[in-house]
Amino acid sequence: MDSLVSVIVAVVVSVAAIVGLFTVANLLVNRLPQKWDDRVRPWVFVGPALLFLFAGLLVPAVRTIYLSFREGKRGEGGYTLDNYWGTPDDPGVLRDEQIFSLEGFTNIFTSRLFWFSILLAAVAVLAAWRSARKEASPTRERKGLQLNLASPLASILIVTAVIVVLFAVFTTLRGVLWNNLWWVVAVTGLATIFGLALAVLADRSRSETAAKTLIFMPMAISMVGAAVIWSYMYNFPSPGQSPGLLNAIHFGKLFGVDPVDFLRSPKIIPWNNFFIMVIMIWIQVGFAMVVLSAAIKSVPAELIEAAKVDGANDVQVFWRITLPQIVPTVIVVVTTLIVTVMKVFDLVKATTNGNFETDVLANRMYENLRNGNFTMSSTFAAVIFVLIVPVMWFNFRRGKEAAR
Amino acid sequence: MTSVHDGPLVASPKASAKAGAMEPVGERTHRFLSAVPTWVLWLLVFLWTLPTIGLLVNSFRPKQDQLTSGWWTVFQDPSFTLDNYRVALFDPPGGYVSFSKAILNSFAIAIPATVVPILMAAAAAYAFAWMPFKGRSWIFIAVVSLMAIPLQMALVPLLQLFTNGAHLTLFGQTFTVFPDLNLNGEPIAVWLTHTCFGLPLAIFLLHNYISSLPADVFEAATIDGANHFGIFWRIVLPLSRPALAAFAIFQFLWVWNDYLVALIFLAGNKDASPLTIQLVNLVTSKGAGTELLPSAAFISMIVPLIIFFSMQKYFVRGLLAGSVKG
Repeated sequence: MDSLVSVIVAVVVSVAAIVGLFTVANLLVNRLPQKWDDRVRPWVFVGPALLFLFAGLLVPAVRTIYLSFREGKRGEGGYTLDNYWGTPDDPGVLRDEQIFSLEGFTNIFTSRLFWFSILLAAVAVLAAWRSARKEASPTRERKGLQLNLASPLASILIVTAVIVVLFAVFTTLRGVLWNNLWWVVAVTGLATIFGLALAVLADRSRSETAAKTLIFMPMAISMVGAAVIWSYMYNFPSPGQSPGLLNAIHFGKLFGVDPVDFLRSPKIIPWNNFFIMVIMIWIQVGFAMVVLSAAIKSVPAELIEAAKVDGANDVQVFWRITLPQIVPTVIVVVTTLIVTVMKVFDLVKATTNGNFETDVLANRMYENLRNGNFTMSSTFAAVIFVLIVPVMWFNFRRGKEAAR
Repeated sequence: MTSVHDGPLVASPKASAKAGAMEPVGERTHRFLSAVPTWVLWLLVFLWTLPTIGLLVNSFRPKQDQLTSGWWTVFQDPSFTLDNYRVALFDPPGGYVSFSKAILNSFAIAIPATVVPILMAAAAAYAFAWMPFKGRSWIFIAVVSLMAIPLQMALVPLLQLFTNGAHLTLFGQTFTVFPDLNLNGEPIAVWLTHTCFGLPLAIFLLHNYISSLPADVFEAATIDGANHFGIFWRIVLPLSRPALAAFAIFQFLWVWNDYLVALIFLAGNKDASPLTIQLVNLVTSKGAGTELLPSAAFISMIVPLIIFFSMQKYFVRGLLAGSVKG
């Protein structure tokens, strides 16, 4: 009861403070002559927000960059590049083998995934060639080899091949930074594709709202909660712990061991990363689906009707009308996911705590902060920022172009 | 186009399947994919909900059952109890704060972290939309572009600010810009941080909405003698209710589900830690209290789920309007 009272007091006081401040400031301005009123009043309205943004966001962000170029744990030394580069014995972020290493990249040629992606790409080229041959108009003269890479089968195969080859790269090249990039590719790619597929599937269904709500639901809960939910899928049977569902159905046989500890087993490294990513995909598919579904519904009905009158079938309508129309939304979904996933922290923290080769940049940032190494922590934050900036810049430019 | 569609004008899946035989392999495959019947959708929905169902079932199973068998065995051997909820909420094992207290802690952080930025952002958005002042457009652009800054970029300096204050040394003199309030370990540090990070998105969303309100409303009010302050309270806030609700839900869920900020500023203060922190404490301490994990996880989700199911419309609206968030 005691704590309930203190919570209510805290809430009331904080809200009353901001309302009171705003009211008092306005009443003071009311007393000014009209000429001054017009000049001062806007600042009473924007002032509090600008003050908070300046002191709580802008200055700290600049200071983080400053700290990343300072020596000593608290930045008490001089300026330095050591946090980024360092010496071979005491490497900075970009030189640390645990973070970013190109060692063993030739192993990629022994990776089955790599050759599978080559195969997929070859089939894609074949499909593109076939499609181009079918589409070529008899009146036009054909010159050399023509490929229709935009045909449904070819483009699906190409996207798959790209994702597979990147998986081959990220399972070969190991390190915290590579993990982060793997996260971005896997979660962004798969969540967008599944989200689009579900949006299309649900669009034809009578029970659309119910289905979408259930798939969207994981968006509402915390990543920590999602990690707990999935622990009952992945659990390794041990005294005092029942097997998770995936071990109960012997899913681990795919990896040659059964049962298998999906998040910790040395046999499954580096794929344990992917099993954490699955949780994030489970969460983000709902987001991609809802946003893309709204875009699909906003495609003008006349366009689709016209295409159907011209004899287009459902696949053609989707591939040639709907998809091109929703490309801007797909880009929004992709960029949003990249930015979200680049900062991934909670899930890794709550599942493996960054052990078993699953560490990510944001966790390194937190670990350094907790150990009091503020300059190194700032350096990791700055690296995350630098990785996000191009995506944000791209978004900003697109937004400006769209507004024009 | 190679296919000649001779069915009815509006293609039905059946009619197009018939035409499929004459099409190239690729198009036929995709016709099949796109015509997958509703039960595939429901199969996916089932797979998507299965993990959550498992957790819900497990949360009602007695300790011994949970530790020895999976939740799916409940269908052969049903036995349920509310004990896990009772213990987690009111009678936690030693070293844990009860989850009923953690719920209150979460509210103590999430409510101010939602209401305060909304009020500040609404006032700022109104000024950006309807009050002329010098530098208005470039300040607005600057504010919106702050959305690009990831949360991680501010945490170290904010931690330093909340523990030591801020002091500026100029010309050999030290000025205290922000006093040593020792806010570290207090909920206020968490909600101040969330307030700062919620503001750019809030201003962006609310500006979009408020700037599209009809100008006649404001003109009429001005003629009636209302000033900006009155217009803001009596006209703008009530009219922008949908946008306010959209942002409020978005921000509330964000703060309620946040783990990182709470971990950094509240890790040392068990009595103030919100649900997410308590839940991870339970996860990482293998052994004691494992059987409480499902019920504890569900306790942490119940408020977001109620909000989600009752106000999904506004949540989706907020999501569609601006989904990029620090």
